[in-house]
Amino acid sequence: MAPAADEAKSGNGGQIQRPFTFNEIVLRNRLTALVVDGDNFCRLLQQGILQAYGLQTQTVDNGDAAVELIASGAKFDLILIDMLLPILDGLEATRRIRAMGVNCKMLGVTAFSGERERQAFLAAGVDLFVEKPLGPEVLIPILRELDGQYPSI
Amino acid sequence: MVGTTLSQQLKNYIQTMHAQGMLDHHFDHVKALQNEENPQFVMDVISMFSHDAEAAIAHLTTLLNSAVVDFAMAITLVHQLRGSSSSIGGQRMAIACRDLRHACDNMDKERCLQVLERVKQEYEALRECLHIIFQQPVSGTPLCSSDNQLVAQSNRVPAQWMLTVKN
Repeated sequence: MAPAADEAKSGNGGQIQRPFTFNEIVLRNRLTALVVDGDNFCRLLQQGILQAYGLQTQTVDNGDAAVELIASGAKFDLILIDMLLPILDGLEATRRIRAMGVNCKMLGVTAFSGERERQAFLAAGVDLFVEKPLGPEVLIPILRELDGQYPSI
Repeated sequence: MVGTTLSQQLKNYIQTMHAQGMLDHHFDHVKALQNEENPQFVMDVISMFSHDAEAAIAHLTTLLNSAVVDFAMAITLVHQLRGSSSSIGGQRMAIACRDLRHACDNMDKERCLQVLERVKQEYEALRECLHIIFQQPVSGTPLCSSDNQLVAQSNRVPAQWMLTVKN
């Protein structure tokens, strides 16, 4: 018990932090996003967060459904995809989506944190590997880039 | 005024939970979703987290107490638990899940059972914490007929967790 408690106590040291708001970024364009996550809770939460930022969001709960949706012609500015997915895993789903010529920003958002998983997801075609949860420090710069508020690198 | 006191107590409580490592900044992200336009959304999120976490913990308990442990299935469940607990900002629970994942990777049944108990404790503590925080009205204004209920429920918080509010 002690090691975990000590590790967790480092937190923010009890300092008062500025309350977070979704007004940190105001989008000028209507951006769309697809959330691919087999976990109901994570899918719902990620959708809620993206919608709070102003994105129009769809969700699917497996890799095969994601591929089918893209193949049907649906277009997204941003795709969040988990690695561990039922029916068709996130690695293969990513490969198939990229093979269709989809060039949108894809984030591999997963509870896995190992270097091997990171390399595999990047090799499959995601632009960025993110250990869950996807926080504003990662998401906001990406949204600004997609919205044209930053010059593309 | 009672409403101001309760609101400040809630802020103090959340701050204390941050300081103790129970919650991290991802919780603030979740809490920021609470608004008057969709007041039920966060409650739905919390309910889903609790439901899924309890189901996963129950399944893990069965798996890890089996004569022959299916560590592959256990890893899948721990993976899910870690993802959801970290997503809701439950820092200590996420750390416990990480440690359980390591024990599963090592196929160390005894260690798994030890750490599973810690996961359960951290989940219980997190669930209580979330219940205390989100039972408050969204607007922060006192409920006329429920002030006493709010005060009674806030008294469930251990005294040492509540920062002193000076009138």
